[in-house]
Amino acid sequence: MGVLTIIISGVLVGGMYALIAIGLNAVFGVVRVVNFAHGELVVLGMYTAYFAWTVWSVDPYITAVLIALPLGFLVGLVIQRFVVQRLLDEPLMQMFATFGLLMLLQNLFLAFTRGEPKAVRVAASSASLDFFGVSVSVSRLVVLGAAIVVTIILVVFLRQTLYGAAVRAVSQDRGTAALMGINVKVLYMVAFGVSGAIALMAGALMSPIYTASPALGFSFVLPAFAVVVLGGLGSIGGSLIGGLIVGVVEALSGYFLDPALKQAVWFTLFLAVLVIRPAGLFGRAGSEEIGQR
Amino acid sequence: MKSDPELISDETSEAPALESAASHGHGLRSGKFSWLAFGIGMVVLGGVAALLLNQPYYLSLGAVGLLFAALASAWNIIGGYGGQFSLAHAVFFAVGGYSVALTQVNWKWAPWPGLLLGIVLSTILAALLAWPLFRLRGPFFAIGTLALSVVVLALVTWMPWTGAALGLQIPFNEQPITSRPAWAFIFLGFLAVCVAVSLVVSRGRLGFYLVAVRDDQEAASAAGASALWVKTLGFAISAGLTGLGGGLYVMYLGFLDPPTFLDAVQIGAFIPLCALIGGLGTIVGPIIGGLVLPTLQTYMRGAFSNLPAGVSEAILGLVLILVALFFRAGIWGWLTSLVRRVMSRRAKSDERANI
Amino acid sequence: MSGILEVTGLHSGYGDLEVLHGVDLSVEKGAIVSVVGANGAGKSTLLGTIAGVVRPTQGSIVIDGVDITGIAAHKVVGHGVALVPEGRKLFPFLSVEDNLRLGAFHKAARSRSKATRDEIYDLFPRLAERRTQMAGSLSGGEQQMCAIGRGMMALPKVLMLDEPSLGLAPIVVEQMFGLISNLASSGLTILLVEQNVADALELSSRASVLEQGQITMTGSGPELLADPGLQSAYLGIA
Repeated sequence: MGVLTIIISGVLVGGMYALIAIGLNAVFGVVRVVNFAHGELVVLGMYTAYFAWTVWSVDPYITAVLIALPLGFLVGLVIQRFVVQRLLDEPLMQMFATFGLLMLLQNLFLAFTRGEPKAVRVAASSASLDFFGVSVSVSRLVVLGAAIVVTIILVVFLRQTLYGAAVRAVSQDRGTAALMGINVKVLYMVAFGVSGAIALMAGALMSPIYTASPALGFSFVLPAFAVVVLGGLGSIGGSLIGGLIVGVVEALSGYFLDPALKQAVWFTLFLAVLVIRPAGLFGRAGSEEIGQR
Repeated sequence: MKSDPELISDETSEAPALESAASHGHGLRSGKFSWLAFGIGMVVLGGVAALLLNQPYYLSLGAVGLLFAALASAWNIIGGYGGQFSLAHAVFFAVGGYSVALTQVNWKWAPWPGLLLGIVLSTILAALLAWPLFRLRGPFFAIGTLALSVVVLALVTWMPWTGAALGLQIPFNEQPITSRPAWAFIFLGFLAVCVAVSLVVSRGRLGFYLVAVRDDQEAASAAGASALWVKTLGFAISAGLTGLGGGLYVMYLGFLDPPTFLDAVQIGAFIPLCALIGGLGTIVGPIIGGLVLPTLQTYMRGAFSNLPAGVSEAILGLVLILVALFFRAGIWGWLTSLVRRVMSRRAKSDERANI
Repeated sequence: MSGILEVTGLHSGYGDLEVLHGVDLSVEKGAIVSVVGANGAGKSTLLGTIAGVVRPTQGSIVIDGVDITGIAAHKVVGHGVALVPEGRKLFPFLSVEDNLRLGAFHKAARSRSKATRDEIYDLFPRLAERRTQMAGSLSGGEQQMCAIGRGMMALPKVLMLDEPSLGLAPIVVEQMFGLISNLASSGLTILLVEQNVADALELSSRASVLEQGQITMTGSGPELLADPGLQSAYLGIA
């Protein structure tokens, strides 16, 4: 296996981390809430795809767009409206609540599936392309492509539109944003909705690659946090690049050191970044402090 | 400069943080009263344990409850008083456990020096980790500590000298205390130590500063408390006690497997949960939470044994959300406010009677 | 006498702490009305309550005939009351231009956003020069201009300024008051809250003194300036 192969596989895994992290960042960067249950939303997307595929024979890629996106938006909205909104000024309680949500969802998955792994296997699962002599999985390429598309859409929205400016304003100072006539409560609900939509879509897109199981969500959420912190809070482009970095680092360390250590390696990277530059590689210095007190 | 009361809402001035720190712990009823209550409480718990002596099932439930009550009390020092949501306490728990198990299995030590080693190592580790970790604030600290515990779990399952994924087994004939009832009293003793330390900390200067830093770090720093130093001290004390708990737990179980000590949810999050459900930042709260939560969990597992796996943990998750939403002060906070309400109503009716 | 903004018997505060104990205030169209008083008298609370940030417990706030008492902050601006908060509170990591655009976020102002922005750039050429710069990197005086400009973007019936001179160099303070007076002569209605009593009274058509949550004196600017009690209390003239 050449280094090029490893880097390409790292980039592909990184695309997945990026896609998950972008959804997480929509909440962490805007509402300033740590959603420990974000990985569970991704798994929910995988189960949704599995359900649609087995019951209605719907292709997971169709599910991703037509079912996962709206369902995820709704789920995110509900989480914000009924849980997080009531705890806006209670950072400690927010963490307890989203951790409770993690436990609730994870164990509901366990109870409903009885722990049986659920796999969606379609043509894309095994299809591959030849890329400079390296075989590249089509299904992983789709996930990377989705991460890039979502990044572009969000970045353009945030930079070019009035509502995008409103989102950035709220993330910097929600009290003053309200004085501008921005309904912060609704904006937070939409941010959570977008986060949920991206998470469930990511899950559906990943369902041809991974086998859904209840514990999977927890293994997604930590790399996603690492990516958000690495790329910078609220920086969507940073999340994309951060995801790719984590993916490549993980692949390289898995190859040159030991696959069991790959987590330790990106964690060290993550902690080092946090300590040296808390704003992340692409976040604006000081932005991690805003709205934090 | 700014002593404008109308500013209280946005730019919290120093006064409220320090005042609230002062009102807690430095009230009239501190000192002798709390030590008396402490003594009575421990005697009552010991009495209950004695009554259960020939009820092995309940006694072992009680033993685990006492252990978690102690762990929750230890966590509460930095998590409740200090407001630092540490998910890394599983690491200190494991350091204590491995200190006892490794020295006993490899070098044939008795467990007691191993316990001491565990306390020392977990305290030192916490003090060393404090510098990078406390550069992180609020949610970042929580994520950092969670990531730390996940990585340590990955490391110990990978390294051969920690017994890797299989963990360590202490031969039965080398376990000094195998009588189950004795363990209830040992864990009670451990709880007494944790609560005594919590009392000393919370009634003293360190507790005062921890609360001040929790309520408003800037103001506390401005008033002369070094936030890093205060948090480091609180973290180290809390970790040392947790290390002791880990050592005792390995002696109790007779084996150590990595997930039992390092699971991010079952240990790392469960200890803070006990403290929350009992009542954060109080002495009594974590004791109640530690006694109630593991017992409830065991009970639910039994009661729902015909339902699919996961139902009882899902309910626990739901309880957690509901507590965070509606019972932030926990069971103890709810009880005290209830008593206060009844008292004030009685006082009012007394007044009316006098007129 | 009925002004464009009428505040009657207003009580408000934070939790158990009542700060305003029945404040009456009337702002006439096209006037500069100032509320002066010492630190802690409740000036910011008064503006905060009108802006919907602080909940009133009693009394009423009527703007141009519409009762806005107790409505949410994000709805108040749509009724024509814009607050330029104390300490400016710009969005530091947004450009000057974006800060201004957000001032016109509410529906009534949004359609005229570009035209208003150009007017503000004419008024403050400095802001036009720095339109792409991050608001957080501006000087104190420029930030205050940007904050006032942002408030004007809302096309308010009443523009409320909370301590616009706070933290500015003396010479910039002079300029700021000159500018406020220009804004008023162009027809804008201004409710000004200041600790800088002398300067505020000088340019106000009417003024009130707020002491411990109550209005203790009301009159024209010059009248109050000449009042011996006020002179000794606020102007250091014995």
